[in-house]
This record gives sequence, C-alpha cells and structure tokens, in this order.
Amino acid sequence: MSSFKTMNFIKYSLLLIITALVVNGCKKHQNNTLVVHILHEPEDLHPTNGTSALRAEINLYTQLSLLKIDYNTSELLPCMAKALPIVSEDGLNYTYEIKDELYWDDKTPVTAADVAFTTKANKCLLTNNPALKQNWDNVKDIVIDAKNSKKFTVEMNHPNALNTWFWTDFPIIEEAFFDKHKTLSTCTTAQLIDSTFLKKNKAVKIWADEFNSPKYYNNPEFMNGGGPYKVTKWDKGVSITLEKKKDHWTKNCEEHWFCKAYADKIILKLNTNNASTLLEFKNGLMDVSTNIDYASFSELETDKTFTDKYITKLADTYNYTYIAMNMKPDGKTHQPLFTDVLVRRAMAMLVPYDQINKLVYGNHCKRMISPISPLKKEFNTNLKPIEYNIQQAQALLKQAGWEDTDGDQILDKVIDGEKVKFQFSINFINAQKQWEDIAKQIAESMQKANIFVQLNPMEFNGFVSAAMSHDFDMSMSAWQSSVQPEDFSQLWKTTSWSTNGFNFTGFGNTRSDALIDSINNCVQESKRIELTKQFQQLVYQEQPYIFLLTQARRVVVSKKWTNLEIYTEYPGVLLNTLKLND
Amino acid sequence: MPTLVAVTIISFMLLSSAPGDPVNSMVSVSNSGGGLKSSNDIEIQKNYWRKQLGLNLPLFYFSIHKLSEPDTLYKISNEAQLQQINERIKITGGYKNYIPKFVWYGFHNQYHRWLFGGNGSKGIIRGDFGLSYSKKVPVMEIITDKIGWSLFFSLLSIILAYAISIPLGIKIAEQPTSSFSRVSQTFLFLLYSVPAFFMGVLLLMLFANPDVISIFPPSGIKPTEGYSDSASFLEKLIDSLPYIVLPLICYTYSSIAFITRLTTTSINEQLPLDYIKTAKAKGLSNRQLIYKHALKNSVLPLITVFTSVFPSIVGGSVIIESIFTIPGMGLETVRSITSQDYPFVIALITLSACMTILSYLIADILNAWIDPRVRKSLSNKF
Amino acid sequence: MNILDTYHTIKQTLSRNRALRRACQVFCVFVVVVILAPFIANDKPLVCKYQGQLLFPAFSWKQKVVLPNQEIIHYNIGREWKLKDYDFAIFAPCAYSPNTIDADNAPRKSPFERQIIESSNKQLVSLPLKFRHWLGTTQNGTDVLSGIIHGTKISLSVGIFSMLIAALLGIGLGASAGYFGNNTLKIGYLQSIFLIISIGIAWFYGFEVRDSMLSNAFLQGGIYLIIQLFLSFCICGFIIYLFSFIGKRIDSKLKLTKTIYLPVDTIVSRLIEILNAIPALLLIITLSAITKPSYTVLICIIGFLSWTNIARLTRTEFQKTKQLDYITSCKAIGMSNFRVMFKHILPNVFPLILVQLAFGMAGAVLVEASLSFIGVGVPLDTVTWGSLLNEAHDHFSSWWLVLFPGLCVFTLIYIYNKIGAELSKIK
Repeated sequence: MSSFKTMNFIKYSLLLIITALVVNGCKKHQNNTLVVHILHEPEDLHPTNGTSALRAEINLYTQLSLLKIDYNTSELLPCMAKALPIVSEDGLNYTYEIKDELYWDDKTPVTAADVAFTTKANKCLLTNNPALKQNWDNVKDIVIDAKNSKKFTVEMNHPNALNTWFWTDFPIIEEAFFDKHKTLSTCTTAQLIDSTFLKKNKAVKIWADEFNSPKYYNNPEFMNGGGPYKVTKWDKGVSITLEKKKDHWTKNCEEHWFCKAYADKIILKLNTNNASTLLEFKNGLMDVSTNIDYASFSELETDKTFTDKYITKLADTYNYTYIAMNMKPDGKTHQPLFTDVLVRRAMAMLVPYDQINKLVYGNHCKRMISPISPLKKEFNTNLKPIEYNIQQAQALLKQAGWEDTDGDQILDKVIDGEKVKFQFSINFINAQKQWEDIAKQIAESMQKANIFVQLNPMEFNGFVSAAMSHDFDMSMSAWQSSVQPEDFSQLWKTTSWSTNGFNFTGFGNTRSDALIDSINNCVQESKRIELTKQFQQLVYQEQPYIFLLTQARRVVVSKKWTNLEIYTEYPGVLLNTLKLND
Repeated sequence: MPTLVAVTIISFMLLSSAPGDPVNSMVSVSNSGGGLKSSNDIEIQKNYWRKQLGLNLPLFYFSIHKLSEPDTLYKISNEAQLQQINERIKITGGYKNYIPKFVWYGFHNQYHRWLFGGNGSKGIIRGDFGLSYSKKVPVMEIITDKIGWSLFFSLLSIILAYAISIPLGIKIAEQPTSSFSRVSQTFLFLLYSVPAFFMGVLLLMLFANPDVISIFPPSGIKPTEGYSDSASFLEKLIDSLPYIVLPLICYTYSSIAFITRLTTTSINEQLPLDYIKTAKAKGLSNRQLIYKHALKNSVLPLITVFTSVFPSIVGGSVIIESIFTIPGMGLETVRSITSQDYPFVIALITLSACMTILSYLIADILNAWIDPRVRKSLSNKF
Repeated sequence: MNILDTYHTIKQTLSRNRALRRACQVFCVFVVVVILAPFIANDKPLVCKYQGQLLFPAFSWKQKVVLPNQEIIHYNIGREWKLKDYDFAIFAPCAYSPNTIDADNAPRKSPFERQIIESSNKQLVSLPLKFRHWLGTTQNGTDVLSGIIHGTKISLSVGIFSMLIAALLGIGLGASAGYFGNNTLKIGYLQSIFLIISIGIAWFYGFEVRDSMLSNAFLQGGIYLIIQLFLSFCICGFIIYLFSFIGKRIDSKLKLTKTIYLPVDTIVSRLIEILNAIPALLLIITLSAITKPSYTVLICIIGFLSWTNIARLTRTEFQKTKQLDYITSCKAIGMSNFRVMFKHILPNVFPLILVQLAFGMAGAVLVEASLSFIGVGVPLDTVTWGSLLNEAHDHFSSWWLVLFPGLCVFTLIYIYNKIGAELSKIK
C-alpha cells in the first residue's frame, strides 16, 4: 500500500466517522423510555433465590405480592389480596382472598394454589435460598378453601408483628410456569422441610435441580411474574430492559402505585464509574438516578445549566453505616482488643464523624446513635451521640490498661502474659470509594491516639463471609432498613452469633435475648415501642457497633418526567409512576 | 503442548491453594438484612455444590505429603475443621511429620475431571471450562458473552495501526533528515511513553465533557436503546461508531508509535547492506529501493509483533475497559479475580496460553512463507 | 574487557550523547527527590523554636518531647503543627505529609482556588503562602504535591528493584543456557535418576513440611512472605544438590561410566516459554488477591515474570560469543567455566542487557501505575502516582488530579525509554 492510498483511506474513514456522528447526533432516544442509572448489576433475578438489593427493586415492577407497602402512609396495602387478612383471635390464622381480575401472562387466573406453591418453593430445603429461609420459618402451612379456589388461610406457628409484613418482600410465582409437573403439590409443606423424606423422594430433587438452574437466574425468557412490566432483555454488563406488558389487568387501574405503568420501557443502564455517570447526566443521556456518589451530587446541585434540566433532591432513608467490632475474637488470628466496653467507647470517640460527613457525604447525612433510625417513632431520643474526642478516648484507653510502654508509637497491654499491640485491620467492601475514604480518615485519626490501623478492602462475598465467621477486627458496612417493624433477632441475638449468622460482633446475653423475643411476640404497638427503646438503651451501653451516619438518597430526575414523588422507603423513586411530560 | 500442560497445572495448583471456600459464593448470601436461624441450611447447600463442582475429589493424580497425615484429608471441606486437624497433626505427628509419603489417587481427581471431564463435567477438551463460582453459569457462556468487544477492539486497532504506521514508517525512512520525519519521530516517541490510563482519562475529560467539548458519548459501547432487532452488522457498527472512537484511539496510539519505529529501524538496517547498494548503483530512486527491496526483507519483525497481539485478545484491556465501561474480557477478569471466581481465571490463563503458543506457530509459518532461509531451518527442525 | 571498561564506555558515551545525558540528569533529579522526600514534603517543621526550646521535629525519631513547662508535644499530631504559636519555624517547602488530611481544604481544592485554614482564634482565614497546596488537594484533603513527591519512591523502586531481580535471574539462567547448551554438561546415569527423585523430596521438605509456616506467611504478606518463600527454595535447592552429589559419588564408587547430557538449554527455553504463556498482569492480580497486597511482593512478582526477555537475549549472545576464538583459548588454558562466563563473555553482552533493562524498567513502572490506577493488588494506605490518578478517575472536574501525576508517570517512562533507545543506538 502506498502512502498516497493510505492518506486517502484515512480521509475517507474520517469522513465516514463524521457522517456517522452527525446521523447519530440527530437520533434521540425513543419517547416514553425511561433510562435509569444503576451502580451495579444484580447478581441474578431469581424469583425466590436471588438476594441482591436491585433485584428487589426490579421485582416491584415485574412481580406482585399478596400485600404491598403504601409508601405515603407506611402502612400495608392489599395488592393481590382483595383486602387485608382476617386474623383469627389467637393471631395464628390469616385468611386472604385473591382478587378476581388477576391472571398470569398465559391468561390463566391466579389462584390460591400459586400462593401454596410459592410457600412450598421457598420453604423446601433443596431450594438454594438458605439466607432467606428464616423469613418463612414462622409459616406453618397454607390451607386452600374447599369451595373457593381463590381463598386460603395462612397458618402461622407463633403470633408476630411481622406475620403480615413479610408477604411484601416475597413475590407470588406461577405454579404452572415453575412446576410444570405439579411435583410440589403432591407433597405437604411439612414433608418438604423433612430431610429424610427429601432423601428418598427423587421427583422433588429433579424439580429443585431445575428450579435452581442458572436459566431462572439470568435468562429473560425464563423470568415470569404478575407485575405490569416484564424483563425482556438483559445485556450483561450493559443494561436491563423492562417492557410494559400489552394488556395487563392493571391497564385501567390507577388506584394504587403498583397499578400504574406509564413508561413503555424502563432501561436500567449500568455505569460503575462516577465520573462518566456524571458526564452521561450532563449530556442528557439518563433520566433517573438514586445513587450518584455524594461528591458528584454536590457538584450537580450547584450547576445551573444542569438544574434547569434536572430535579436534584436529597431524601432521607432508614439506612445507616456502622463499624462492627469483634467482641469475641479467637485470640489467635485476632487479638482481644475490643472485649472491653471502655475500649469500644474509646473507639467510637476516635471516629471524626463531622469530618467524614463533610468530606465523604458533603454534609448530607445525620448521626446515627442506636440501631434504630432517628426517623422512626421507635427511636429512643434519650440517647446522646458519642462525639469525636481524642483526649477523652486516650483517657478511657489508659483506664482500660492500654499504654505505650515501649515508645514505638503503638499502644500495648499485657494480656495473659503476652504483650499485645493495639493494631488491627478494618475490613470494608472495595466496590465503592466512600468506604476507602472513611477508612483512611479513621486510620489517620486513630494514629493520633497511637493506634495502628490497616486498611483491608474486600470483595463483597468475602467480606460477608469473613464477618459471619467472626474473622475480622473491625468491619465497616451499611445496613439497609425499611418501615417494617424491626426484627432484632437477626442482628443481635446470641444464636445468630453462634450459628455464624448476621450477629457479627458477639453481642448479647440472656437478658437481651429475652428482650428481643418479647419485642417480636408483642402485637400491641405502644408496648412494642417501649420495649424497642429499652433494647436501644442496651445496645448503646454495650457499643458493639460504632454507629456512623444515616444515609441520604441522592435523587436526580429529568424534568421531562412528572409525577415525581420521593419516599423514604427503598427504592425512593417508583419508576412506574413517572409520567412523560407532554 | 507440554508448555500448555505445564501452564494449566501451575495455574490449577496455584488457584486451588488460594484461601477462601469457593462454594461460599455459590450459596446465596443475603445482601441486606436477612438472617440465618441454623447454619444447617447453608451446609446442605454447600455440600450439594461441592459434589456438583467435584470439590470432594483429590486435587491431582498423586500427592506427596507427611506420613502423619491421613490420605483422605481432601474430603474435609470445613475450613475451621481442617485447621484443627492440621494443628493436631503438627503436635502429635512427631517424627512422622518429616517423612514423605507418596500417594497415588488415580484418575478420580479434580485436575483430571477438569481436563477430560467426568462427574457431570465435559472437561476442557470438549470446551467445558466448568461453572463460574460467582455467576453460577458456565464459564464458556461468560466468555462468549464478553469476548466480542475485546476481539473487535484488538483486531480493529491492530489493523488500523498497521495501516497507518507502515506507510508512515516508510516515509520517515525515505527522508530521514526531513523536518517531517524528525518532528513525527519525536512526537511518536513521546506518544509511546504516555500511559494508556492517562490518555484515556484525558480523552474523556476533553472530548466527552459538556464543560469542554462534547462530541463523543462518555461511556458504554452502544446506544442506550440497544440495536434494533433487524439491524445488520454494518448498521450496528454505524450505531456504535461514536462510542468506538475514543477507546479505539486509546487502544491504537501506542502500537502506532511502536510499529512506525520498528518499520523505520528495520528498513534502516537493510539500507547499508550490499544488495541495496548494488540496486542503488543501478540508479533506482530511494523510494523504489525501499518498496522493491528493503521492505520485503524488513517485514520479519513486523510479523512477530502482529502475532504477539493474539494473547491480548483473550485478556482484553483492563484499563481501557474500566475507563470507558466497555463490557469486555478485561473487566470480567478483574471481577473474577476479586470475587475468587477461579474456574474463570484458570480458563483465562489456559486460553491465553493457547493463544501465545498459537501466535508462535503462526509467526513461524508466516516467516517461513516469506523468508526461504527460515523455511529451510524449519524443515530441518521437524 | 571487563566491567570497569564498560563503565568507561558508558562515561564516554554520556559525554558524547546529549539526549542520553539529559535523560540521566532527569533520572538523577528523581533519585534526589526520593532521598530528600521527608525533608521536602513533611507536615512537621524542619526547625522551630517553641516555648523557648529549639526543636527539629522533621529530623527526630522520637515520638514526643516534654517542654520545660511540662507541656508534651506528640510528633504525630499531623496538621496541628501548623496551628501552634512559634517563636520562629521553618517548614518544608511542601508543608504536608502525603497522608495528612486537611479537612478545611477538602474536598478537592484546585491549585488556584482560595485555600483556607482555621486560625488559633477559630476563624477561617486564607492559607498563608508557605502552607499552600501548590498542586491542589484530593477528595480527602490530602496534598497532591506531597503525594507526588512521596510516590516517586514507589515508582522508582518498583522499576529498579524488580529489574535487579530480573537481571540476576535472566543473566544467570540465560548465560548457562547459552554457554552450556544441550550437550556440554555431563552427568552420571545414577546421578540423573537421583536428580529426578530429589525433585519430589525437595518439594516435600521445602513446601509440604513448612506449609503451616508458609500459609501463615501468606496471611502476613510483605517481606516476611518473601523471606519464607526464599527459605523454601533454598531448602529445595540444597536437597537437590545433596542428592546429585550423592548420586555422583555412588557413580564414581561403582565406576559407572555411562553418562547423559544435562539439557540445560532445553530446560531454560521451556521455562521461558511457560512464563511467556502466562499473562503477566493476570498473574500479578491473582497473586496479590491471594496474599496481602504489598509493594515488596509486587516488585518480586514483576521481577520473576520479566526475566525472560533478558534471559533470551543473554542466551543468544552467549551462543554467538562462545564460539569465538578468544573464548576457546580461554578454555584451553584451563580457566573455569564460571570465570569464562562472567569475566570474559558477560562484559561484551552487558551493554545489550542494559538496553533491555531500561525498557524493562519502563514496563515495570507502567504495570505498577496501572495497578494502582485500577486499585487492584496494591496497598491502599500508600499514596502513589497511580492512586492519585485513580481519584481523578472518579472526578473529571478536578483536572489537577489527572495532569500532575499523569505527567510524572509519563516523564519517568519517557526517560527510561529514552535511555534505552539511546543506548541501543551506540552498540
């Protein structure tokens, strides 16, 4: 090839590029398509086994459940059920009736058999949803009404405030789609949680292998639900497309939020990088985000040309960040640093809360004091936040026996005849920069009190399993919470520690366990609030966590869309209720 | 071939000895809230997956271990339990801890299963790289999903680089003293030293930023809508064109600098040789000299460079992909490593080792095709 | 010709070649910055007079000082040094340590923006010129200039030390492959069998017996891991040597004359082939996912992966040179192989290796910077050029986070490349 020819080649290709750019520039994206920013892909969209938070959001639009939450009043709404259940006097039997107009995508009506199947599928020991099973432990059985195939009674084991609430989290799935041979209907619920029965029964194993197989996790063709939207495309690493179903029963219904479906298409577009997300919004390529990072949000808020086109708003959430301290370490790989409550209190005093709030969260967050969000009525207002105070922390550490005796700028103490240095590592998830920034600030502040902190960024799964198996010194993360009545047994009960559950720290004694039980079994609201306040007091005294800050939701919505309402509850903005501005 | 086997053994051993329980990520762990009443549920699922993945088999055909260790230690999967046993062996083993013992496990082992199949796996010789730990889908599926864009960029960039830099290199060699040559040589040398991530971030900052110039979209690889279903390849290409430009520049600039330099030097090496002098004496112009004689003989190093691109097709470019959010192999690689998705990592290492060996082979064949001297030495070799 | 001669040639070429000289000068500037870093960028004053007492905080190894009036000053108070009332004080030109958080000037203050400080009476005033963040600050309010100055150490040492390892391995293996080839080294028949058996046994004593120590070392990471691994390899080497020695003795005792050639060349070539087939970046990320990220480990990994180029070059050069007359005559007068290899052949090959080393250093710097840029496989608490660029990756509006560290990486890579290119011109 001569250089002359090459020059021509280059010229022509440049020309081609420019024309293509012009052509593309003219093309705006289709009307009535909502483009939503997501920060990470859901790991899967399995109807029962999936665990990622984003899956729960997608389920809001693609699935229906018996009951849903009314985001304005924070109360229960009947969704698939005709009305809220009729409760028996002992609080154990809940009778529901399914609405008449409901039908699945294949036009078959929704019946009580589907609810029974959903329960069995969730409770079956072979289903790969071990982390979620506990929510179903209280369900004993579903009894279908002999005369009315749409009416059924849910039998529970114990009375509990959550007995109705838990239905909001779990979509009802179609039996004819997920269990073509009706295998589960031949077994009773009790049989499905009996491992000796399951060992003998081949049919259930075949069903479970099929039900747990990858296609139900990530293939849109095998995703099925009762909601007004359907997942039609999942372009891995790029986007997930939800399309409005052509004639869904919600078509003529605008009563509740879950009936609405204005946008024809919702595209959830993945962008993991803050800066390029920012550029996409500035270029008008995206419509909605609720998770832009705080720094970028502050930048957008002050940009006049941007706020002309977009609404930027901060909304409160019930979520909070915390640092868990290992109260019962093994003493070998992890030294007994935080066994003393004085030390834990001193640690809480060494965290520069205001500085973190300013540098990482742009002063958008509030202090968290106990495991209950200050927004909730259960919050104990008598508790005062522990403030940043190095001198007092040093005094407390000295009182607990930690002193720098050898002059190496690290505190030490003789424990069981062995000199232990006050140095430890702090675990956090590597996916987001905010954790790294917070950890660096804490490390700098601790260093002033002669404590050496190592940063240990971890991948999500590794982080969780390290925390659950008590393999950490300090572990920093966030909990997502909701309007539902709080169930403390998962995070704070001693059994949850001994079985490697979510009680990471080893908090608790017989008194706290008894308190948690009485909170759970209490149906009367005012009494429950009183007990919850007592429990907060207990946690506050023990300080197993350093409670950091509440989290704010950073809502950015294009002014092309109206009907915007922002809720405290996840996901903050209901995408199906957004309506295109004419 | 022996190289390939060695590479797979090394990577297999390395990753099997990595810490962490691989089935942890197979079992769904709740992201928010959630809780566990009994760890029994989790153990049932874990054991199921262990069997499914063949992790209950011994690692290799044989093992050399301490006399005090039981032969069936591999069957214990619980890490805490394993640690206890190891500690007990350490204390009670005594002299037996220092005597080696050779155990032959036969063909029922993880490596054999991985290579040739069995126990529900087809083995890599039939294209089955096993199940991804973190995504629960076959590794091959992920690779076919992701390799498209990496392949596209690698090939396009190398073609572009050659199309630009060979004529450029010739031009520089033709008139080595002209100001054009001097300027472009210096410029290319500077360009060669610019790190790709610096270039990428600069390009984004300058050309996709409404505050400066906004010609190109800042991220992704195709329009948000995706392509229309009926779009032909060309239509897809045109749709994606604005998205391609910036990453392509990033992929290409350093190879342009490198190949141009290579072309120039290898032609320059030919010029003082006798046959060129003879040709010059015949009265050929500088240009004719290069095109007719020198170029043909200086093509060897260019071929070597061309084939060396092959392995990078599998690996993709971590940096460029992460800057421009391209769903390619590079990002997938980092994801798989940080989430301990070892079947995927081993598959990657094996594939790129294959590619390397393939590239040697192709380079040899091409060289033989062009250079009769090499052909002769090759035929001697085989 | 010996190493001294090579030194003289280099000196001569330096005086002749201007571009090379300049590149070396810039390199020296980097080295000086590394050595003086604690005194150029430090948040402690170099000299100060406080409460009538003369202090040298930046030079002191102690952690605190007790003043005559019983006031105790801890040396690790970070930015509070700037708030004290001194009689006089001289601060470093860049008055910040790389990890010191300046919350007043955060997040991300541009070099040209107004920078503030909280004065002793709790009011926010303009930052005095001597405390200015000349190149701006990061998200957490750490100083960019200080980060760049202290980051130089990492970038330079990664290049130099990894190539040192690569050179040792590459020259050693490449030279023996080239010099001995496949049919020079003879070993006895029994000895060879012993050698093969010894590999398994060496593995056992080197790794299996020490496995608890090694897994502990992997947990600890860093220099400890390197030492433990090195020990393991030493044990392996010793056992293999022992067995081959015993084999040789038995051979000579039994008077077995059957010998075979040790295929040194094939072994080394295969090793090179295997290492080349493994994608380097992938292996580095994988290894650093297994052990705790640390620069010592990173340097060693890069070193162990990049000796192949040097080895290949050395091998070809040795193959060519060993056939020359003067080498044959060296052998004829009974010089030892070792002496011939390293005293008579190596100096001739050395300039070529130097070129390869310079390019290798550029590559190593690039690998380190890329890894810190994507934030994988490097410790987070060390500020490096790459980690500064990583911050910019999240916030494009902060151009100073892109420009300055990016230019530094570019310059270092450029001068390595330049040195390599100029050296290769000389020949």
